[in-house]
Amino acid sequence: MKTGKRFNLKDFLKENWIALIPYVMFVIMFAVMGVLNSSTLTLRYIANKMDAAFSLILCAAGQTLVLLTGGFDLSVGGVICMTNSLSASRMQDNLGSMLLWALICLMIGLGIGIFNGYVIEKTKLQPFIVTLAVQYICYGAALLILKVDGGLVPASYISGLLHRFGPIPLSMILTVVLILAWLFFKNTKPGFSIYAVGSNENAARLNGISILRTKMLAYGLSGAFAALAGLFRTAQVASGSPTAGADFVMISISSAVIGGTALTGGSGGMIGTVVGALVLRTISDLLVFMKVSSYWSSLVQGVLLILAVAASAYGSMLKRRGGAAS
Amino acid sequence: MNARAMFKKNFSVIMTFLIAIALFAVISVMRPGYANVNNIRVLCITASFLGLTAMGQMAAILTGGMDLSIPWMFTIAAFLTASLTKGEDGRLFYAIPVVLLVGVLMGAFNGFGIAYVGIAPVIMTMASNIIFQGLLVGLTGGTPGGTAPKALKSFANGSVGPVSAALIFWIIVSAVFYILIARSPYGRKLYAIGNSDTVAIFSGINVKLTRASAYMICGFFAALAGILYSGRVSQLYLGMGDPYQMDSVSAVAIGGVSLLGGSGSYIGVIGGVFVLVMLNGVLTALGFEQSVQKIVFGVVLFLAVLLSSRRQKSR
Repeated sequence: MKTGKRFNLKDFLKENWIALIPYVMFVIMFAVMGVLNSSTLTLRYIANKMDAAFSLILCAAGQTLVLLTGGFDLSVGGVICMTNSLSASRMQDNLGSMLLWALICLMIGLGIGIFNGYVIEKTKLQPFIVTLAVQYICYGAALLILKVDGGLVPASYISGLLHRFGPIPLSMILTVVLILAWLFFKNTKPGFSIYAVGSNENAARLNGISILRTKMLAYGLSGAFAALAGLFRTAQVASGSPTAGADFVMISISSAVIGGTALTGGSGGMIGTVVGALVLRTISDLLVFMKVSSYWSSLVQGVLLILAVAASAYGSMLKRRGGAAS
Repeated sequence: MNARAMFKKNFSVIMTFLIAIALFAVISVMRPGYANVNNIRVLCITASFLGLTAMGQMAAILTGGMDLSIPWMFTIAAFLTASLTKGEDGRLFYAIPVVLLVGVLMGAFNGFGIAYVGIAPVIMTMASNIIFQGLLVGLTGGTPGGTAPKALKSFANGSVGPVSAALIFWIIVSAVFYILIARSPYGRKLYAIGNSDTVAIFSGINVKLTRASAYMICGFFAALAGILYSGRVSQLYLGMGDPYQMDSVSAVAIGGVSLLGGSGSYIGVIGGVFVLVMLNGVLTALGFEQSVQKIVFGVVLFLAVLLSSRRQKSR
């Protein structure tokens, strides 16, 4: 039992060193990059990086919610493919059409996500197999929408989403909004339910939380965030692709896990995920500056994921031991 | 056991085969003349490759896990075969064992992470899949090349009488695998840890080692399929293993193997392989594009998993 409330840095570090890893990694990475290539510490580079990372931040934010409930969402890749192709090929250069298609994409993502959550809870199938099947269906649908990479993206759509307020990109402001929204959401009843379902489903049920509704919410939001990621990608890449979303599946899970969200559910959060996503998106640049061929970047990403999961497993083991001892 | 009880017990397996035959009948009706020797041979060769990868996937799934890293183990095996042999038949005798060993080692990497470190199988194999991809692409500078030796090419595309050699090879390997899974103590261990780790531990099974070995088997079969496939295609390409990630899982699920582990038979998986191959044939014969095929395959996987979970509940 802890009795003293006095803040003790040593104890704090001892208990939370694993949670601090992503932040330390992020700072070290930026420092190394600054040393290797001084042009990286300019506002312009950071703004560009922010735009490049924002799709992943959105997708990983949704993924985090699902991971918190103790599931996976492999269908995010499919949703990104669909919404990216749809918005790149159908939007006209007027505000009405842009809003309409953005809304349609959002509804598609939300609908697919709610379907995932409903089926997973009702049939008790494992989340990864349900979302794997749904992902495949989405890949097919994306190919129906757009056969090959391309499409014509309205110029005002691109300039609108990549807008800079002085040196600050819109994506950075939206990221801050996302974090603020998350801090608010975490303490609301639905936010609390997501954590509760992830840490102990039975206890949550006994406390009157609807598991079905909570899962539909988490997967639904994940789908909606994936749709937003697809919409932003359309502006950022200025084109659509029926296959590009596949890359997001693993890397969105990685971002969350590197950011300290446990795969077992019930612990973690979105702030870590944002940092994790930034780490993963800058790591390929770091490799370039270190004169390592970019062919190795997928290897590095895979190794990082495994290390992050192993560290999180190790951390929870330490916590269990600590809990037993005290 | 009388015939009726036998039928009842193996109902799902028999159904799987009936569906495969029905699909074949559909192709023959839709495209008269499709059911000729040549097309059947192509279907059988396709089934053999899927069958080889599905064997490994089944071993992993029986333990309650899954292996999503088959695509790049498969691709690495194919390129390694080409580069070790440099297209010469004489080097096959040492190249094949080396490639199979590499496959087992890649599987051991998965098995170690899953069984000893405790990483969730889906995450571990998804990560190792891109690690293997990175290794191959990084080591070869993005442009691996080479061709398989002639002997391998004639074996993978050839036939003995009217039957394709690949099919015969698959049947022989299947027989060995069936004995291993259904008739050996090792097979019983795989089923046991899929049912319950705790019970398996108290039965004196080395759960960690057995679980890791399932992924080594999966690596072995992915490499075996990759070696054979390098002879099947005229030019090796990156991403040739990609279809097997989803298809191997689907074949196993359609075959009635529980994705929770611990139940299902290999005979069912063979049926699942044929269902998938025939389904692909039907969709191609009807002139559907890749997009529709993907949608149908996704729906089929979903339904197969749904049905098998119903069956388990009712038991």
